[in-house]
Amino acid sequence: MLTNKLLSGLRDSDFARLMPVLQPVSLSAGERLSGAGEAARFIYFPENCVISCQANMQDGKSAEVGMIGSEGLADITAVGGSRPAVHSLNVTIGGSALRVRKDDFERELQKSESLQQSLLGYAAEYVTQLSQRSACAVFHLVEQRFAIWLLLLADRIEEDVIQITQERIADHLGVRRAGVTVVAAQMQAAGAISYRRGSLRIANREMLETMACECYGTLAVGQQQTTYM
Amino acid sequence: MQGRDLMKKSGQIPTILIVEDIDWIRSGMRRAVERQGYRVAEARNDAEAFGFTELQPVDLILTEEELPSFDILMARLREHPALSSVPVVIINPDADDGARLGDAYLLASYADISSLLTVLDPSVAQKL
Repeated sequence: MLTNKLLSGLRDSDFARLMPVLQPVSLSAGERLSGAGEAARFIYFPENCVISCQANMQDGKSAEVGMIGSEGLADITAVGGSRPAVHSLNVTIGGSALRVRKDDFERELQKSESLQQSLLGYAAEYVTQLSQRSACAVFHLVEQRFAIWLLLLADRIEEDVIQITQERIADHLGVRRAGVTVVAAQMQAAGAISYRRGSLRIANREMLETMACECYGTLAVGQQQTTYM
Repeated sequence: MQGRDLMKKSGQIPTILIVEDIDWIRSGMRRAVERQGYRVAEARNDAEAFGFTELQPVDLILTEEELPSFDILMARLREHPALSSVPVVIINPDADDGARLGDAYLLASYADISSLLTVLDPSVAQKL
């Protein structure tokens, strides 16, 4: 059953035309799909995986700038452009996706009005996410950003248990691992989460929402209203 | 056994020196360690750490591997006659308790410093 909302929102005839060039793939957590400076070869439509768009600095620091689940595609900045990618795409949560060669997708995009509309709707949603998260990174505390990031991730996988190490969480939040450890310990002491060896469980979602900043309201509502047609 | 319990036993509260340059991380580490009954001292870098240890003895140093002066701190500690035996601990929730990172010990949680007692040399552990 198709779970990617962008694809499932297409007109049947448009999806039927796209279907022959869609390839199901299984993606592993931590897998790098493309790097900064590389030309994108594929467009990915997550089914139950989550892909992170990651900004990588010259000194080795990195931070997630966008999160893509079954609501969208990765990477929208590659569509219709020929310049090398600015950011890297990495798999945060492993799972299934459909992928299509970039040139095949762009060819079908020219022919399909419903695909164009879906893409525009998602682009607006994605820009909202990027802009809200960039403001969040400026104004809000690491504790708040950690809480909202967990909520956004849990919303996408529809699970309260997240298989991820604190080292990778630090890479996503753009903070040191020691900082994640401090915040995770506070959240664990408060009963909001539990963590053991690469497995994080949201123990009290309401409490985690109170720990998150106002940005969750904006981003979560955006998620719930995802209908691009 | 927590630091405060050990105090009752030995009459001394073990001192843990936290070396961390980022204020909010250092404060969080301090709160977690103090909750377990240990005396805490703070330093932002290797220079402050050595300045403190010249004034007072420490029983354990808690730091992090991404500290900018981590390699310098470890090298200076290794060569220091009085401090080379002081255990250095890095909290790493994804590691096994007692695993090593160079000369440092890894510990999975701030919440249980005393779990180090099972992996440290007994002559060092008895001070904790």
